[in-house]
Amino acid sequence: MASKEVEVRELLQKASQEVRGIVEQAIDLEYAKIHMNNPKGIKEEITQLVRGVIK
Amino acid sequence: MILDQIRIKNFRQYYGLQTIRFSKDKDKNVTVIHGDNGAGKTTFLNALLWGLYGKISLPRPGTLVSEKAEAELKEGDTVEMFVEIRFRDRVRNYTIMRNLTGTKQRGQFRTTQPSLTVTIIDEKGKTIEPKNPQNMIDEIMPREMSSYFFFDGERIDNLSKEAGAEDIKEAIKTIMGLKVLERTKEHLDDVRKIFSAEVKSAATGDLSILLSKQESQEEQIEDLEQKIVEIFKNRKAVVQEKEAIVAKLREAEESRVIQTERDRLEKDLTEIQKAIKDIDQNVKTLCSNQGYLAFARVILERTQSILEDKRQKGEIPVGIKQQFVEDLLERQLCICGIKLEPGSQHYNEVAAWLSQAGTKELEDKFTEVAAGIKVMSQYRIDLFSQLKTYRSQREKQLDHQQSIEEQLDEISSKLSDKDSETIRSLERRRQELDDNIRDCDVQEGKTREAVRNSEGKLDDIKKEVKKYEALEAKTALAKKRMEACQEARDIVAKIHEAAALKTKSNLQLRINEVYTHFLRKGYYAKLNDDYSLQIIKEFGETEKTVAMSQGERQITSLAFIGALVDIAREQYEKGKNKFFRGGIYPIVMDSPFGTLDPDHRARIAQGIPTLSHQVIILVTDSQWEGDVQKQIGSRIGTEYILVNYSPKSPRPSQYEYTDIREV
Repeated sequence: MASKEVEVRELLQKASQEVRGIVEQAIDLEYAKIHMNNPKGIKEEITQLVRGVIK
Repeated sequence: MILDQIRIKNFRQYYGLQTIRFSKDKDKNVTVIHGDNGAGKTTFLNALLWGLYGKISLPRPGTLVSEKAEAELKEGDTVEMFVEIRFRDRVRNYTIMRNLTGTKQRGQFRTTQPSLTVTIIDEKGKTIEPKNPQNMIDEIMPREMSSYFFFDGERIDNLSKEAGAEDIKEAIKTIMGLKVLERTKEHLDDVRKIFSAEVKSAATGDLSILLSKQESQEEQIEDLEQKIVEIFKNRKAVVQEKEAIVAKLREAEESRVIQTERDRLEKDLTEIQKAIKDIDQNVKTLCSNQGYLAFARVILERTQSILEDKRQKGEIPVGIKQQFVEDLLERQLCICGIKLEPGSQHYNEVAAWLSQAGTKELEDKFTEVAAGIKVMSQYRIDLFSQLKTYRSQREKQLDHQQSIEEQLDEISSKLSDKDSETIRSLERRRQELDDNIRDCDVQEGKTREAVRNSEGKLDDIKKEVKKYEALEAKTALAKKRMEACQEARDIVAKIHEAAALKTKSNLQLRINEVYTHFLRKGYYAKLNDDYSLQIIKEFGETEKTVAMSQGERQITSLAFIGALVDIAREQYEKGKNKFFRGGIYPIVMDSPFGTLDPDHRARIAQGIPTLSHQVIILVTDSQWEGDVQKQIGSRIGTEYILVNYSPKSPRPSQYEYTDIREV
C-alpha cells in the first residue's frame, strides 16, 4: 500500500505543473457534481479546463 | 450535517403540526423516539427521506396527506402538508421545506405537485435561496448514501450478507471519494478522445509539398530576373552597335547633314517624351492631393447654404455674448437700469439668456468654417482649371511628337534612297537595330509582367504555408492536450488504486475497533477482497469463519456503518486530503434492536451512541426497556413519544393519526 502512495507521489512530482493542475481541478469539478448520476456538461467543463491549462 | 429539528404537518398519519428537536449535545448525542408497532416510527423515517429527497418507501406511496386532515375538509377547502427539516452543515444553517396542498372539489380530493425550497443562512448571516435546491441537498447528503445513515434497523443485516457486498462496495466508493476518482478517470479518458479526434481531423496535406512549391516559384522568379538582365545586356549591345552606325552616318559626307538633322529631332523627341512623362506625373500628384475636391461640390454647397440660412436668421453670429450676460448678472444691474437681485424674476429672465447667448469660440468657429468653404470652393475651381491646362499641354506635346516622328521617318526614307550602297546598308542596319531595341523592350516588359505574376503566385503559396503552419501548431496543441489528458488520467488511476487500498485497510481497522464495542470477545470482523463482511472466531492459534446469525449480521452491518461515519468524520476534521474530503453524518435508526437476543441487544445499545456525532433511535417500549435503557439512558439528549389514535386504541378515533409528544 505504501508503495502505491509512493508511486502516486512520484508520478505527481514527475508531472508538469499543467498536468498536476488538470488532475486537481478535474477532481474538484467531479466533486462538485458527485451527487448527480449522470452529470451534464462535466466533459465539456473538463475539456475547457484542459484547453485553458494547455495553451 | 447536524440535524436541528423536523416539523411535520399532515404527513401520512402525522396529523396537524408536529415538531421534534434533535439533541445536538456532544455527550448526550442520542435522540430517542418511542413508539409502539404501527405508531409511526417507519413513517417518521420516511418523513425525513421525503423531506430530503421527495421519495418514500411505504405502502400506498401516492397517499401523502393525513387521512384525518383530508376527511375533515369541507367542499372547496384546502389543506397544507409539509415536512420541514432544519440542519447545520459546516458553517451554514439550512431549512428544507417540501410541501404540497390538497383541495376537496366536487367530492374529490386532489393534491398539487410537491414543491421544494431551501433557505440557507451563511456564516455572515446572509440568506440565500439556491436555484437548484435538490442538487444542493444531494451535495450535502447524496441520495445514494442516505440508506446507510437513515435505515431500518431490522433490515440493516442485508449489508453483511454476501449479496450485500455490492452495496458495501458502492457505499465505500461514494463515501470515501473513490467514486469521484473513478468518474474523473473516465471523463479524462473521454476528453482525451475529444482531443485525439481534433488531431485526426487536422488537414492531411503535407507542408513539405507546399514548401517545395514555394522554392520552385522562387527559382522561377530568379530565372526571370536573370532573363531581364540578359535582355538588358543584349539591348545595350544593340544600342552600342546602333550608335556606331549612327556615328558612321554622321561622318559620311552624303549622310552627315541628314543625320545631324535626325540627331536634333531625336533630341527633341526625347525632350517631348520627358515633358509628357512630367505632365502625367503632375496630373497624378494633383489628383492624389486634391482629387477629393472634384466630388465635394454638393457638400460645400449644402454647408454654405446652412450657414447662410443661419446667418440670415440671425442665429450665427449671435447678437448677445455670453460674457455680456455674465457681466450683467455679476454687477446685478441690467442695461435698462433695473436691479438684478439673485432669485428675482428680472435676474432669472436675464440669466435665461445664458443658454441662448453665443460664445466667442462658437463665433470663431463659424468664421473659420465659412472661410474654409470659400477657400475650398476656389481650390476646386483651380483644380479643374489646372487639369484642363495639363490636358491641353499634353495634347500639344503629342502633336509635336507625331510631327517629329513623321520627320524622322522621312529622314530614314531619304537615307534608304541614297545612291551610295554603304549609306543604304548602314541605314538598313540601323533600322534593324532599332527594331531589335524595340523587341528587347517588349521582351523586357513581358518578362517583368511574368515576374509580377510569379510574385503573386509566390505570395499565395506563402500565405498557404503560413495557414498550414498555424494548422500544424493547432494540431500540435491538440496533441499536447491529448497527452496531458492521458498523463492526468494515469495519475488519477494511480491515486484511485492507492486510495482504494488505503480505504479498505483503514476500514478493516475501524470496523474492528467499532466491532469490539458490540461483539463478544474472541470475534472479529473481516472485510474480504470482494468487500463482503465475515466474522472470524479465534480458536487459540487458529481462526475460523463463523456463520452469522441475523443478530450478528446486524451488528456487523452497524460496525461497518459506524466505521464509515467515523472515517468520514475524521477526514472532515483533518481536512488535509484534497481527494477525499469527508463529512459529518447523523445516524437515524428505526428499530435497531428488534431481532436481537438480550446479550447482543445490550452490546449494541452500549456501542450505538459512539457511532456518530448524532444518533436518532426509533424504538418500541418492549425493545427499549431493560438493558437498552440502562446502556443508552445516560446519553439521551431529547426524548419523544409517538401517541397513536385509531378506532381500536384505548382512546378511539374514527381516523388513525399520531401525535408527537416530548417526554
